[in-house]
Amino acid sequence: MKMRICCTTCPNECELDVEIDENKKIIQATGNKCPRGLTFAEKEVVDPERVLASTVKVDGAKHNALLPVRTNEALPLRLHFNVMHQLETMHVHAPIKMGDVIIHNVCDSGIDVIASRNID
Amino acid sequence: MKEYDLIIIGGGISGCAIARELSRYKLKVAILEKNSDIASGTTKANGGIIHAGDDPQPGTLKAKLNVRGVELYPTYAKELGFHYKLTGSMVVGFDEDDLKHLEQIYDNGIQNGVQGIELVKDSKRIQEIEPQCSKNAKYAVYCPNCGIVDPFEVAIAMCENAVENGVDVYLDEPVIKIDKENGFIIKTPKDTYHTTYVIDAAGLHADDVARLAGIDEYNIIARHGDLLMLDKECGVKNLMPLYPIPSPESKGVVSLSTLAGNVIVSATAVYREKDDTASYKEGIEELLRGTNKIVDGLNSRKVIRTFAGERAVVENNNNDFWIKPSTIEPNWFHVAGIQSPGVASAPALAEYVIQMLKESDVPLIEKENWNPIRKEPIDFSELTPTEQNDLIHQDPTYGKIVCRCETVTEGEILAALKRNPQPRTVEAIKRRTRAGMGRCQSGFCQSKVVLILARELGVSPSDIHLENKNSWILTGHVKEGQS
Amino acid sequence: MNTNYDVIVIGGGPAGMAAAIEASKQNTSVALIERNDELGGILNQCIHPGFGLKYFKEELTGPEYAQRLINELQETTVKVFLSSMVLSIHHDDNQTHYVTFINEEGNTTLSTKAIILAMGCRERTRGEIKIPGSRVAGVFTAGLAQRYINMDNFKPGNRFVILGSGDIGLIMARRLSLEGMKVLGVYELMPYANGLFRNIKNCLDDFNIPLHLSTTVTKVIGKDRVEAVEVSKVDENLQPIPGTEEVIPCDTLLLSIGLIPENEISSKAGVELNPATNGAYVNERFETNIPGIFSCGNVLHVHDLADNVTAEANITGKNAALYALGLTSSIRDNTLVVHVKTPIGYSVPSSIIKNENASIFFRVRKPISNAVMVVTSNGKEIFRGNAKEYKPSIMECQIIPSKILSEANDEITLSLEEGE
Repeated sequence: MKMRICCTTCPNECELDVEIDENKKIIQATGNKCPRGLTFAEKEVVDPERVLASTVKVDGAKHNALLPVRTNEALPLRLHFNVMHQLETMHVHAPIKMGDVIIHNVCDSGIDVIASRNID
Repeated sequence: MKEYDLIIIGGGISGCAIARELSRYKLKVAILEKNSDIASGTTKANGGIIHAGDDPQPGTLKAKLNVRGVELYPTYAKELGFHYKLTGSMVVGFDEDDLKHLEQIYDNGIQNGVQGIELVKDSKRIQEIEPQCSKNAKYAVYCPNCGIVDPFEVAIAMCENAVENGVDVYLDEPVIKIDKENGFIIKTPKDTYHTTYVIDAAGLHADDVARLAGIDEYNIIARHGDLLMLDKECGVKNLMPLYPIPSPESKGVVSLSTLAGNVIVSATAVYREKDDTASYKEGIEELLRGTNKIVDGLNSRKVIRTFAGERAVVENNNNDFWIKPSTIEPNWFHVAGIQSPGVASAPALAEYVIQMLKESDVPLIEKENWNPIRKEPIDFSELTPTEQNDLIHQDPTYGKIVCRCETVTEGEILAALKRNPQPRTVEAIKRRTRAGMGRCQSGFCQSKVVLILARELGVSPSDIHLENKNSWILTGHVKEGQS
Repeated sequence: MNTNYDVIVIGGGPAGMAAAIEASKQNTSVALIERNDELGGILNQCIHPGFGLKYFKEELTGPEYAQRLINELQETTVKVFLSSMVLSIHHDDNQTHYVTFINEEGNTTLSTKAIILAMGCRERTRGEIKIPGSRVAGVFTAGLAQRYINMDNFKPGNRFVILGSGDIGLIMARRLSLEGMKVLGVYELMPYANGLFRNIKNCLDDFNIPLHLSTTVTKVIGKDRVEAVEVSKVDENLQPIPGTEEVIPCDTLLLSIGLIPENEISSKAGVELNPATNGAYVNERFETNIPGIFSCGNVLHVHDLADNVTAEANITGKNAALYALGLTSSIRDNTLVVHVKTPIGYSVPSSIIKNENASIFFRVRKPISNAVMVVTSNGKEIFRGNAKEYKPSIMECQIIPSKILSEANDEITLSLEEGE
């Protein structure tokens, strides 16, 4: 099967034309300017991953109702709505520092949800 | 049931002007307004011109009230603390055909008693009067006593003064039923009112309201007008109202600078369904063509807002106002068909209505303590730096800018919320403070205004509306986490 | 209180902070004036990733990107005024500038040798593109909706139509979908998408949101709140084609139809604006027509990436500091005016020095799959680049070595020669 993939590793946005076999292994790939494109494509065809960003409610903050958060690494897309569900009802207390872990090992993925900024 | 001597149905500029004049007398008066704010129907969507009075056909009520309104406005502005600026105006012609029309307008003006009117047949003189007028203009009728206002500011000022003098105002109260029993029993979804006299100033729906009382004496149709508002930086500044040759139906596409310094282009004239205040593409295009013909140097790409209003036209009434007692219910007074020049006529209209009430033996006894003065609200952007500094020291909320385009402070919004009738919607705040009226059209300040309104009114931001009921802005929280 | 600074920066977003940091590195006294309660500007509401790949060499969210700059700024001696709105800029005959601002303490005027304008941009509105229809609640610019959702914790609607495929619109499509709101489709007037390709992929494709090209909203329908929008296909002149109207029931219309530099204070201060960018005309030092007033970031021209804003601001901050210290002056000989030919929309700077290497930023007005940059001076070709692809969503930078510029007369013109 042939697919077109846009590598989002860097701002170059290489568009790769890839051909995969029935086991979702890449047989052929063209269009990437660097090897990272191939690594990206390999993941993308099997189990696409993205950094997930959202917010959680924060109490006791001077200016803010919400704390922006994100996963510290790309998280499989299939887990995104599961994580969103957990974030919907949770709340945290100020003060918070950028990088503070908000959920450890979310969905057993080995990935943490971390704070995106300081909040006093 | 609430008891009143006289109820005014409709809180537009006519209703507000009448309420203000009636507040001189020992009479229990109320305004019933169907919308969430006064001045939010036809009053909010027009050019805001105090037309000199050269347009209406001589002998009409319109002509009389327009010219008298022009005389009254300066005093009204002083007493009620609203902005009024004498600008002068020109009706502009380009060829000999136009000149014939202009001669007719000039004659009208003379007959109507328009002060200082001048027929200009010299393009140099036209450029002297208004250098931003098209260089192709050859002839004009110049009226030095034309002026401009913000029509909603005028109505709000009148209403606030009326309230200070004892008039009650009920918002969000559409009249749904009227029974005749020892006067009139008026029902709204919220309440019931009993009154001896009714002034029906219900704008587009004055005829419908009258029919609720079994009074079917005239019919209103809606003349729809598109309008454009341009940025303050649009190549043209302090433009006096420039009119094309009018048609029998309309003054045509008029261009002018508003008090705040925007250019407004007003208005098209097409009969449409009542309550249709949508903008139409063909209307917008007509306005752009119209203004480009008459004004030089306007960057018509700088439109910041398109909007529309409807004028109430009484059918088979020669485009005139319809102000008279009902023939079947002598205590019911029609104030209908107040199309253009309704804003210019408002003070004179109120004077005329008082005279009509006196002639109908409504007991009008003057109060000893009537206060004609309404204190002008603070406009932070108009203060000197020293005044701004002093004000912030007295009240630090004046040091917090909410609307950056129009330099509106939180202090002004809080002050507006203390006024009566109280503004409770985003648009009501806009009409009183200009927050959101600038070039970003509330992109930056709307969320701040919503949060201030919610905090001060003690409700959730989800309960704050843009304008009327059902014009919700927000629908609950994104994140429901509980503390 | 000290009322005199070498450099005053207006705006505390990615441009203002980076400019202030760099200016203060030159041992100057710097004040930064920010209208909001906190630093960071619009980055604070851009909670999505995709920032910093160029500048910080790692992928950050908007707030993280801002936090990095805030942390850096806190290490400097820059005096920060928060919740402070600049009302005016004045000058005197000695080339001293005065900046007047208000905050809850009152009305303050500071004097300075150099000002850096870094106020950012605002969104185009419904009025500017004159969408007909009723004037109901539920029409939001994408940035306002973003603020409600990401900062204020409120949903501005349930069922959305998005007009405009600019990056903010695409990003909002994803945010809305993730937060449980429904996005019915993104509609784009042009025959191509306006946002970065990565955003089409990650924000629309991941959520099965359709993108409709050559289609626009031709009417807003509703009594008090949006009840539907009418969309129509457009022809090659971007005019709606009668008969192609389709009514889409929804309760919210989001507009992502472009950004405009916010130059109210600049123009009132006498800064000359370029109609092609709505930002100031600047020379290669990012200095405007008024000596000592500099401009950078989105108030100068709308950038594609915050990273490019920061890079530009660093240069500007340094230049402003050197000017304030008297190490450079505004008066220069040997300058070249920079012109552009369509499809190049504009250039920043609009004048350069002949004997220095020049970096010229520009954007194309339409996508071109294969074109060569050709630079001429008074009709004579002096430079020819390699063939490459150009997209309107990308801000390009053309570097021209001083050696080539020495052949130029008094102007250079950038043009693109389209290949096969």
